[in-house]
Amino acid sequence: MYPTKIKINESIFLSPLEMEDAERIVFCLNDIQVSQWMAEVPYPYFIEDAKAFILRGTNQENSTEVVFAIRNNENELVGVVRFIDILEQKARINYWIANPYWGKGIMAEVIKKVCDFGIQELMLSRIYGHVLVENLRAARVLEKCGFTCEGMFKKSVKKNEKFFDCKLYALVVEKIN
Amino acid sequence: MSLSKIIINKDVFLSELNESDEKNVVIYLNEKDIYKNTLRIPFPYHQEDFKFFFSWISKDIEKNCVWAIRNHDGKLIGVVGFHNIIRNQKAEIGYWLGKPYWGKGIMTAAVKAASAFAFESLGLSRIYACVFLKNIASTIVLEKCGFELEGILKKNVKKDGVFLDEKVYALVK
Repeated sequence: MYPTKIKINESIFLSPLEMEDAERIVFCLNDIQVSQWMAEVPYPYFIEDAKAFILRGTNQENSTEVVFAIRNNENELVGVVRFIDILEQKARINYWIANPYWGKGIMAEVIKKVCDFGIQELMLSRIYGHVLVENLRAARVLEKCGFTCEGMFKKSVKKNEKFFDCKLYALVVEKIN
Repeated sequence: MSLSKIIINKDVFLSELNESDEKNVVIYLNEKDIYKNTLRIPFPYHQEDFKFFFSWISKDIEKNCVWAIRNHDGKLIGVVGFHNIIRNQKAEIGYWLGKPYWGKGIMTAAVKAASAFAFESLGLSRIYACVFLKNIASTIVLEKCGFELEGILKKNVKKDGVFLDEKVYALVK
């Protein structure tokens, strides 16, 4: 499964991830402001981490994952949005965007468009996201996109030997069933 | 990892599940009331289904830890175990009990004993369970064991072509 190009606004679009994006991903994810909220992203982040991530995300045989690069109008990668654990019309959404692009409503636009894609093209009926409880910004973005908080999981995430509670947000297509 | 015996009471104990338990598992799992409340147990349940389950848990022993629940003569009457184990962090608990043994507090006692073992020996801080919204009996077991309801997940699973809501319960240390 491989995504096509999706226009977000005049200066941002989504397109497939490529091996050439590795250095940009390393640069962006070595920003602790971004990394601190990502349960599964190591810090510091190395080029090998990025290459492994891209290989997995672009593997055509991997039907459980669809990955988009978020790019500016210079075609430079500024973030990533992806569906993972795709199974039986359900998928987890996971994303990040570089610090200079925060607070402009871009992430919300990206998530809305990607969820439309997921519902229409991947036939998803449920899209869910995990957010660390302290990550208020991410919670607000998901709420703006129509996600509902379904629960709070205690000590669900372990990062740097510390436990974190996380909130579960979901977008459910009501017309199915 | 090899599991040592855990005494529940004078009539019931837990010990490692093994291949010779196939016959009893097949008998007890050919039960619609178990099928309708669980996600991955087929119905009708065949010997091959047990072989598949057994080889799955045996292959991935880092992620799975499963006991037989046995009565005083050592015969299997149910199963309790952990899946998706992340050592020193968390795991998912799953269980079933043969219908003739329902309503006697056996399941509650087994979940308590297995959870105590998992916190201690696997170093867990979190044990969670996913339960169909309509599975009241299982909800009662979890609540009796101190699990707390953390959320209701809409259309979280698909069974027989129908989406079902699930409750997530967790016991946290």
